[in-house]
Amino acid sequence: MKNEEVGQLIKEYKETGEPLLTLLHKIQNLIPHNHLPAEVLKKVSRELKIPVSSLYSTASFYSMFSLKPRGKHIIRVCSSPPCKLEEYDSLIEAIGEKLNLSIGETTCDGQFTLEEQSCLGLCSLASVMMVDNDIYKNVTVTQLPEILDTYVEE
Amino acid sequence: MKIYRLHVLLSTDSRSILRGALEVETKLKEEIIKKGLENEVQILRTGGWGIEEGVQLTVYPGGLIYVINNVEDIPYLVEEHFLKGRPVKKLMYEIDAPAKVEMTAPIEEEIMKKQTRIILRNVGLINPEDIKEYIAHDGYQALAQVLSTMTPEQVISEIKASELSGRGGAGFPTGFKWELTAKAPAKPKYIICNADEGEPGTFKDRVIMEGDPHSIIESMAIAAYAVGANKGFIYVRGEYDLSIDRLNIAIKQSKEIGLLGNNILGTNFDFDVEVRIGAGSYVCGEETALMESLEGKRGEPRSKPPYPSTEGLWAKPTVINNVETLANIPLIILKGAEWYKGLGVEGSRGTKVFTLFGDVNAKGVIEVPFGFTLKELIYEIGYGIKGGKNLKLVQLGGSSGSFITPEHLDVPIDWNSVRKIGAGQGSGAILVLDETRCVIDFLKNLLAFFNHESCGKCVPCRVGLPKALDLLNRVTSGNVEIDELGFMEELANVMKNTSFCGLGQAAANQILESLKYFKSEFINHIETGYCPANKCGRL
Ligand SMILES: Cc1cc2nc3c(=O)[nH]c(=O)nc-3n(C[C@H](O)[C@H](O)[C@H](O)COP(=O)(O)O)c2cc1C
Ligand code: FES
Repeated sequence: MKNEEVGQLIKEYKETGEPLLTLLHKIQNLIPHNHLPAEVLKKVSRELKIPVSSLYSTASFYSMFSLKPRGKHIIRVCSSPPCKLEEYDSLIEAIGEKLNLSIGETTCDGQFTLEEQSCLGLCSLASVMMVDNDIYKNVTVTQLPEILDTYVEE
Repeated sequence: MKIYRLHVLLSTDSRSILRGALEVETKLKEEIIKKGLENEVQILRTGGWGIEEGVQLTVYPGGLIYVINNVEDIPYLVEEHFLKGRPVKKLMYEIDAPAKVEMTAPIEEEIMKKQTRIILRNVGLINPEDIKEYIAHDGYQALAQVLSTMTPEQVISEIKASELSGRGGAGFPTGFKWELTAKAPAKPKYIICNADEGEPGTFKDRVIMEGDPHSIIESMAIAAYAVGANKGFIYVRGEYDLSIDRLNIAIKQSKEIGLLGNNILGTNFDFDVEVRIGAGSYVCGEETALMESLEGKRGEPRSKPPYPSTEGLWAKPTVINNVETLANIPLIILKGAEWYKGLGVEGSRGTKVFTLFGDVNAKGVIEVPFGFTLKELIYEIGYGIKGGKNLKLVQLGGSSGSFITPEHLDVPIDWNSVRKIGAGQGSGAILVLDETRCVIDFLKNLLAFFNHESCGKCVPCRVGLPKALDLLNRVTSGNVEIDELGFMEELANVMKNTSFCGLGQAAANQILESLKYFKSEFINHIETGYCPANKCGRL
């Protein structure tokens, strides 16, 4: 599980004194399926002499970290009140139908995970959604298939 | 230096980029070369003016604004205006109010006419990625003045005299906050810029960071000098990529020319700033939770007192200010507290940035002195409600803000007046809802948001929110007795009085205000099983 690269990141962390959240972000980006597996947290704990419990407590708190494996692509639909006034419900429904997926789940083929996203500060462009790092504005149900298709592997 | 005939300011904040600013830029460059104008027309990237449509191009001399919705219009624009000097009216900003409003005059006379830009003074006007442009607009002059002619005490008394108050939601007097930290004996001290902007509907801080990042760095340096700190952190939401990039570029540029680092401007003042990135948590915007997060822990709020001013980050004296609060500092120093106090009203000095959106004709990011009424903001600056409908409700200050109903539209927006009607102005978001919206559905969305973001530390918030949501779901599924509304009110009062931090209290407020202003709508839903807005499931 990318042992060496994780080790390298931990080494850099020790040398630069960067913040712990940054280290966790970097490790998560490295691990396939966008998550922080238990054995990696244990490794971090051993090497940094931070109790596993406090690492777990930090990692489980923030919505950008996941302890469970996620899909290759993460779909995040803004679920804050201003976006919910627009297309939110129908978007969630349409994604559910197209990919057989509900919030918090990952497709069987490991391609997509669907998550809720808090306000992205783009409320004048509601409804807003993200796939990985790409942001889509004024999304409607009709555009949805085209957006998702660009991420589906042949 | 090359002299150009025309300067074209291109908005490249994240909202403009999503609307296609980079494609517009590519096409513009192509066409300019095609017409052989590359030595005559210069394209400059800037932040946005706060017009919530298309990609804005402002052409100087003249200051005419084009709003580009389709790159195919660019060849015509380049040919007509840039080559032949004939402004193209049909590509100018047009507001789709019942009677169309064409904005064909220069920006200063049109869109900015009703606004006063202090905080957003450079946004839309300068390239945020070039420190030279900031300096050319008096950037870092306030810092130079402070370091060379003022003592820390003088800086604090100037800020106190200006009566600047915090823009992060609570309105605490900034100068007073600085003084508490300056007087605290413990060392080292820290300056934190709260850029965790997570209040739904609020994107003012993002506009500042993407359009004028140096103003934050300069202000933090001034604050540091005033309180005796040498280290600052800007805590930015992990989702704000472009803000993070532009702040990092700004920090690098300031370091390169010695405006950050050791012996700034030849004095013995040292100051350094780092950007720290959040990981997705609304409650981390609360100042003590933010400090926990900066320390690498769960972002749960601490008990207060002690307050951050004396025991903040790593238990050291810390000044924490919102992005918008800080952006005021340089002009207060340069123009003086007396000048600043001339703006706004008693008890609320200066200007405020608002994000106006929802069912309004002209959405936008606007800055006006305190004391404007919502009527002026929505009907004059916002050109009224979409489709000529009636207003039902304004949510002022984001999801943890207050409901303002049409009878209060004439109340001026300043701390005291808003407090008198039992509201708060919060972050400056103005969400406009028209008569076709359902309050019950809206409240459900609000509570779902708070439920998702509750950190779980205290019982009233953790347990109260699911209970309230369950009750609301039963209102919309017709499975509730009218007297249970009394229980809902009681529950909200308990949450309000006993929640550990502002999150649970704000959630409770939303319930209480819905019941206060729209009780009949609840009763209607329950009694008739019918939702007039056709929003609620069964009905
Ligand atoms: C739940 C909660 C969320 C908050 N979120 C933010 C935020 O995103 N940005 C911010 O500047 N202040 C936020 N605040 C207010 C801060 O605690 C603090 O008052 C502010 O940073 C002080 O800066 P100011 O004096 O410049 O306003 C929040 C408060 C609470 C209770
Ligand atoms: S509510 Fe969705 S971006 Fe703000």
